[in-house]
Amino acid sequence: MTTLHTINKPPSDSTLWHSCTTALLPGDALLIIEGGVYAATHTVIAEQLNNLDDITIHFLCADMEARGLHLSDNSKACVVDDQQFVSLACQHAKVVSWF
Amino acid sequence: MLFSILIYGSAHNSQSAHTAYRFADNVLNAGHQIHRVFFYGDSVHTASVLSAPPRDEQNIHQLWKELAHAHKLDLVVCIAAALKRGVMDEAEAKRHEKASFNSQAPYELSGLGQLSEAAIISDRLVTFGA
Repeated sequence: MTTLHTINKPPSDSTLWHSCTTALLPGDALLIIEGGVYAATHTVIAEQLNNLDDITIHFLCADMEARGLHLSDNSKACVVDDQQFVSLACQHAKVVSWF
Repeated sequence: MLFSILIYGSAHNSQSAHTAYRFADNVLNAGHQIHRVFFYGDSVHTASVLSAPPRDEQNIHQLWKELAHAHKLDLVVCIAAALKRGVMDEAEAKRHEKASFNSQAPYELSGLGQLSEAAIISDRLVTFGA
């Protein structure tokens, strides 16, 4: 039984990010939304996310575009739209929100 | 699949209600159903009919209202969170001897039991935090 995690705060909320990333289990997905998408520009977090095994990382497209952000070339994450957000929620047995 | 949605964030100090609205719209467009939308904490301000945002901003109260009418959604506002923030319907205004009220259908004031029931019945409960 896998879980979709969402997180909506920027990496400056380090306690929240630590709690979230340590709760991830193999097979889970992490969807980064709202202010959380600043993680795409945070070197330490971006590297940490790249090193997660068997966990897929997603950034919500509308929130990236609203902030003029894009993924770096070496990022293993992908950008998803709102429809794919719904699909991710269906694919995983639970949705846990970190905020 | 049956979804319920829990919203915490204020309509104007947080993206929460807006992200949740887009998610709900896409859930319905994908052919799924929404059992209930529950407004908790500062998100109860979404239920206020007196909210009048500038024309170049989204009117989140109106957006949820139109979505609720189009899809017969159950929009439940936590009654305790609403009353202490001055969001109340006509019945609660009378009960608390207030001169006016600012919430009406399709927003409905009710208790946390509605959230518990939604969590039990729905396949997914998706929370949008403040």
